[in-house]
Amino acid sequence: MSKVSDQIGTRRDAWRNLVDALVAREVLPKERVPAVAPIDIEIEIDDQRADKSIQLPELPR
Amino acid sequence: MVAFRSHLAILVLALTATHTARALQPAIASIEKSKPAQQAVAERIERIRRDLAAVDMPQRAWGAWTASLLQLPELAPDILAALRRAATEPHSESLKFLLHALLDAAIRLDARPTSEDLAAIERVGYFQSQLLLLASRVPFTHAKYLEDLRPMTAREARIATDNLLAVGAPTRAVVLLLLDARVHVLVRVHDEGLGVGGGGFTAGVACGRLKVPEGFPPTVFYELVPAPVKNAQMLAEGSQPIVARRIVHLVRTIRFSSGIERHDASQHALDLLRWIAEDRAAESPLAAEVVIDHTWTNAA
Repeated sequence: MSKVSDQIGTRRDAWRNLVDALVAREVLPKERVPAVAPIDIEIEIDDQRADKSIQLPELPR
Repeated sequence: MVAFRSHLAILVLALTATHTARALQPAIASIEKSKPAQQAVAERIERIRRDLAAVDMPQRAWGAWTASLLQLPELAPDILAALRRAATEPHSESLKFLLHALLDAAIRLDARPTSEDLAAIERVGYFQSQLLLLASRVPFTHAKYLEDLRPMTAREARIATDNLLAVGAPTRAVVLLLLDARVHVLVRVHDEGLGVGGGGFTAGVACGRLKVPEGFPPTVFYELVPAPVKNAQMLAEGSQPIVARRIVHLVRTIRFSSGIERHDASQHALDLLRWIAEDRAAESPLAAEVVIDHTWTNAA
């Protein structure tokens, strides 16, 4: 599952870069930068496994 | 001697005048010749002006149609006055068709209504395409109007509104777009050797018909579509540029049918935020919907 975490991390980084670029261009005041770390990512897990006896590891939120 | 000198001066003046007059003869003849044409244009303008000020709505609509057809920009103030007057009249089917004609003339003659004018017309009926076109000429001036209009827009009109705000008031656009920007990450975990279900696609169709009241000129609609499209005018540049297509209906019963495709507000917000940030890369890991397929093995 670490690969999944990496992919989420890539998105999170892209979002952070976007927010930084908006702040640098003075179209987003620093105080209005989204507080939620910094992206509001909703993660939904669709567990389609036949055997769910082993619990899936936690993903970074 | 003095008398001789003044006679000479008069003679020189007369000769000069005669010479100049001869040289100017072709030009004078041309002006004389075009006099009736100029007079005809002036009379036509006056006639259209009277039509636009008439009580009868079809007569006003014909005035607007003719002004638009003949491309008479000197009538732009009269068109604006007629628009302001129409916006205060009781709602009726005729009023809507009058406004279609007046708005078309305003667009083609580059009339510049105020934000208050645009808001007043919007209260009469659904003219979002035309109002956005008029606002697009000076998006900075109409930023507040565009922001107020935004919640009432959908699909192409929403994209156009946001594109115009991104140019006219980027700071406000960013705040509004951030509210829409969401990244939904779906992690599908399935067993080895098993496929995964595909995503769905939603679409719909809108259709109907309009009956043009008696005595009105052809009806002009403006349709907003994503660029590029031939024979359409650019309305709003952005991550998804939107153009306006002018459609003239000569028939008395107008049938329309349009497909409604799914509009992903979140993806639009992310794309336009990137555009405002001048990120022009064709691809980005930022997408509203991210599906990660993960094949489960017990060792995962």
